[in-house]
Amino acid sequence: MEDNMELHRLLNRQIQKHLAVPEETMKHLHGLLHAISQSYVQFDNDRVFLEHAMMQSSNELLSKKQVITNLLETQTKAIESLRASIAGLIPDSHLNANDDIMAIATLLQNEVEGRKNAELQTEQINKRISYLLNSLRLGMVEYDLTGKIERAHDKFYEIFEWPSESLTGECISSLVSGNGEENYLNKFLGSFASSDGIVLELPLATYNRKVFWALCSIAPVYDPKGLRKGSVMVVFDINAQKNLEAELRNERVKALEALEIRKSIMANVSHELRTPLNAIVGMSSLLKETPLNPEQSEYVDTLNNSSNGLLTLINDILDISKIESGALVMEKTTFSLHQSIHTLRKTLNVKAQEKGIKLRLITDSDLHGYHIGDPTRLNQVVTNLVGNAIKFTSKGSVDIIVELVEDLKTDQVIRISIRDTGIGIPEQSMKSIFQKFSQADLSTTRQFGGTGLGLNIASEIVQLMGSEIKLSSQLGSGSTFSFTITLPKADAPEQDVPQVPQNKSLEGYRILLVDDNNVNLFLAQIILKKWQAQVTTATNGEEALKAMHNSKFDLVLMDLQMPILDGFEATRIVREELKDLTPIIAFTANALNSEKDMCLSIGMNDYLTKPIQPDQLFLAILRILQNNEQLKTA
Amino acid sequence: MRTEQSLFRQREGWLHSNNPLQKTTFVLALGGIDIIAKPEIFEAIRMRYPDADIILSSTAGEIHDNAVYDESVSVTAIELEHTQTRVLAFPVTDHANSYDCGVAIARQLQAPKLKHILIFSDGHRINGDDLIQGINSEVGPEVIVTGGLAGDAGRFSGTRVGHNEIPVDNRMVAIGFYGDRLQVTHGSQGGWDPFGPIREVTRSDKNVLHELDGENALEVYKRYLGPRAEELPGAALLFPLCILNDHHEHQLVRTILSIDEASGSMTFAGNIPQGSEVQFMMSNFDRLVDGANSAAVVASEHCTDLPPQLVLMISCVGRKIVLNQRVEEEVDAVRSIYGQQPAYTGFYSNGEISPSRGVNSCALHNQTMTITTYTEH
Repeated sequence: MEDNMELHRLLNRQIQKHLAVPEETMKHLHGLLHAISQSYVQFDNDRVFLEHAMMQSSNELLSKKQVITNLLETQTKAIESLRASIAGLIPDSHLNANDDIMAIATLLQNEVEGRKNAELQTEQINKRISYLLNSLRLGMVEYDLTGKIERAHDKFYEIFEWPSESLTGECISSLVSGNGEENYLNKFLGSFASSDGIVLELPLATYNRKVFWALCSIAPVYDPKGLRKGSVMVVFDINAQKNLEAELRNERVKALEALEIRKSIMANVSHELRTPLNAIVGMSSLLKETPLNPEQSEYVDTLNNSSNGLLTLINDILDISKIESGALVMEKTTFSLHQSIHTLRKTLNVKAQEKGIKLRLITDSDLHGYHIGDPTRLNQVVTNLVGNAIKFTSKGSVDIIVELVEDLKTDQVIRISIRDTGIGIPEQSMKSIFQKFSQADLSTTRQFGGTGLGLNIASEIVQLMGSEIKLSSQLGSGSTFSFTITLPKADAPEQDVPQVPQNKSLEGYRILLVDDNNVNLFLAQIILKKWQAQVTTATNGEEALKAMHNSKFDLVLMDLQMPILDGFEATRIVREELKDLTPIIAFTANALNSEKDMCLSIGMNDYLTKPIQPDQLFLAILRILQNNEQLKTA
Repeated sequence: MRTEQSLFRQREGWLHSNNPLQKTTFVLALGGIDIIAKPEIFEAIRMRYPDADIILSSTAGEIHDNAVYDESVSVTAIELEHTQTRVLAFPVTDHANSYDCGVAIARQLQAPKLKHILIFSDGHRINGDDLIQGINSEVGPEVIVTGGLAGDAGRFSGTRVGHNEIPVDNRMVAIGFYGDRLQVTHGSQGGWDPFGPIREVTRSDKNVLHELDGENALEVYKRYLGPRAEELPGAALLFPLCILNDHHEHQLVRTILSIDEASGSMTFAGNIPQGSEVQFMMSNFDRLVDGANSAAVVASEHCTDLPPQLVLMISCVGRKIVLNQRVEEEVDAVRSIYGQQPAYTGFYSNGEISPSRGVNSCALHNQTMTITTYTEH
C-alpha cells in the first residue's frame, strides 16, 4: 500500500483531534486508516454521484413537467374550442366548464352513435322511398332555383333513358319538350315562381329526344331557414293514356260528325215526307168540307185517318231522332195544367166513346192555376198513355188522375196517373215495354196495331222532365201508369191564350205566301182565302223581296228551304238591309228546335211546322196581327 | 454429497479445506479474469482431482465461504453419491445464435430423471435472453435451470469459460443433474428501485440499445453519470434499466455488457425490445443486502427439512460496485439463513440465470443475488 497516499481530510482532522499515538504506532495503523479513508471517499463520491443523478432526474422531470404543462395548456385550449364547437354543433349538449375531455369524448361518441343511427334510418327511409318510387313507377328529381338538377332517382333515369348519374348539373327545362308549343315550357317555368305544389300534364323529352307525355307534380323545397332553395318534381308516364285519350277524342269527333249527318238526313227526310203529307192532309180536310155523298164521305174519312196515322208515325220517328241526338229540349212556358188536361180528355173522349168505355178525369182542387213547363210535351206523354189505355181496354174505364203530392212555396209536386181496366201487362214485359219497337206481346201488334215507339218516347220525355214512368199492372184486370213531376208555380198570363173563334176571318189583311212547293202553296192559299185574306204568292226568297218591294203586306208566311234565295237569307235582307219590320212567320216542314231558335234569332216573329194545322195557323196569324194592331194604335 | 473447498490467492498460494473426497464427481473453479486462464491453475486442479469434470469460469469477484475475493480462485469439489451428471461444452460460435445454443444444450442433456441444468456461459457475446428461451423451448418447468454469465471484473471486454481445459473466450458449459435424491432450490432477488422519468425505447435491436425517447442512449447515461462517465461501461452498472410491463410494473432488470462509442449504442445482457417502456434504477447498500437475504429466504422455502449441503451464490457485478467495501455483507446475509453447515461458493457475474418468481420457466436476470442450493438425501 502507498505510504504517501493522503488520507481523507475529515479523517486527518479526526486523527489529529482524537488519536494521540506515537509516530511508530501510526505506521502500524496505516492499512486500517487507509481503508477508513477510502470509505469516506467512497461515501462522498456516492453522495455526489447520487446528488448529480437526482439533479439530472429532477431537471429532466422539471422539463417533462414543463412539456406536460404546455401540453395541458394546449389541450385546455383545445378542449375549450372543442366545447365551443360542440355547443354550436349540438345545441342541447349541456356541457359545462367542469366537463373534462372524457365527458366530451363520451358526448361525441353518443352524438356520433346517434348520427350514425340517424344516417342509418335516413338510408332506410331513402331505400323505402326508392322502392316506392320504383314500384309506383314515379320518377323523382330535385333541382335548385335555376333549374339545375341536384339529384335524380333511379326511376327518373329509367323514364328519361339517361345514362345513370349523368343528370346532375343538367338543366331541368331541357327535359321539357316544347313539342312545338311554347306554352308547355312557359307553364312549367311558372312552377318556379309558384309557392304551391302544382300538377301539370307536360310533353317531356328522353335522352334521345323522344317525346312522351307525363303527369308532373311539382312542389317547392325550402331550406331549414324557410328560404326557397329549389323544387322537387315527380313524373308519371301517361303516354299510353294520352294516346288513348287522343284516339277517343277522334272517335268522338267522328261520332259527332256521324250524328250531324244523321240529323241533317232526318231533317231532310222529315221535310221530304211532310211536304206531300201536308198536301194529303190539307186536301182531305178541304175535300171533307165540300158537299159529299155518304160513300164519298166515308172514303175521305179513311183518307184522313190514314194520313193522320202516317203523320203521327213521322212525328214519333222525328221525336226519337231528337231524343237520341239530344236535340229534344223542354220548353219553359206558362200554361194551365187543368185546362190542358181537360182539352186532352175532350179530344180523346171521342175514341173512348167509340169503344164504349168511360174516360174520366179526376183532378185535385188544390192544383195551382198556372205552372211553368212544356205543355206540348206533357200533353204528348198523357195523350200517349191515355191512347194506349183506351187501345188496350175493351170494357170498363180509363181514369186520368191528377194529384197534388206536395205543395211547396214555389213549386208543386204533381202525380199524373192513367188507370185502366184493360188486359194488363205480364210481369216479364213490364220493363221491356218502355223500349223502342216493343210491345207486351208480338201478337199485340197484330191485334192492336201501333209502332211501339210511343211509350218509349213518353218515357224519355218524362225522364227529361226529371222523373220516370212507374207501372203497376195485373194481368187481365188492368194497368196504372204514373209519373210525378215538379212544376214551378206561375202567375196567370197577362193575356190569355186566344180561343179560336167560330168565325175565322182575316178580311182586309194582305198576306204574302212564300213556298217553292206548288201543292203547299195551293193548299195554304185555299185556307187563307177561305178566311177572306188577300193572298199574294212567291216561290222563292227573291220573288218575295220583289213582292215586298212592290206592295205593302200585313204578314209574310215564309218557307225556309227554297231555291235561289232561302227563307233565312230573305228574312235577313228584309230585316237588316231593308229595315222592314213586316211580321214574318216561318213555315217549315222541318220540326227541329235548333231551326226554330235560328228563325227567331234572325228576326222572324213565329215558327210553324207543316203540315198546316188550320187552327194553329189562324191563331198564330191572329196573335201577330193583333200585336201589330196594338202597336199601331199605341 | 460431500464437498472439499480450496482457495488460491496470489500472495498466499493454495489453501485447502483438507476434507478429502473419495470420488470427486465435478469441480467448480471460479476465478479472476487475469488468473483463471493461467495454465498452472488448471494443472494444479487437475492434479488434485484427476478423474473429475473440472468446470472453470472467470468472474468479477469470487465468493468463497464467508468472504469475497478479487483475483483469487475458489475451487469447490463435489462428490455426488446418488446423482449422475453430464457436462457439455462447446464454443458459442458453433451455433448461429444464442437461441440455437439453448436449444442444443437442452436437447443434448434431455434424458429421464433430468432434474437440474447448471449453466456457465460466456458473458460477453452471449444474448442471455435468447439462450434461455432456447432452453425453455425444450424443457418443462420441472427442470430447474440456473447459472450465470462469466464476469471480467467489470471491464466488459471478454470472459473465460472452460471444461477440463484452460478456460477460453466464447465457451459455453452446461451440467445436467439426473436422479431422484438431489434436491435443488433457488431464489433470486434484486433490491433495486426505479427512479426518474419513464422512457420509451425508440430504437433497439435485440439486446443492443440505440435510443431512449428519441435521444442517444449512451448520451443519456453519460449525462446521468456525470463525472463517473469516464468509468463507462462499468459505471453503467449503477443505473440498470428496468423494463416495465403494460401495467407499468417492474418486470425485468437489464444491465450493460458493453458500449460502442462510435455508434453510441449499448449492449445489454438481455433484450431491450423496441417500443417497451424502461426506467433507470438505483439502489443502496441496505436495499441490496435485504435483497440477498430475501433470495436466501425464498430458496430456503423450497427446501425440505434437510439443510442444503452446498449453496451457490451468483451475484451481479453491479451490486459489487455499489456495495464496494461492504460487499461481504450480502454474503453474510445469505449465510445468516443457512448457517455454518453448507459449503458456500459463488461469483460476481455479468448475468444471472434462474426461474422467474411466479413464472416457473427460466429467465435471465441482472443485478440480482441468485442462489441455488443442493442437497442429496
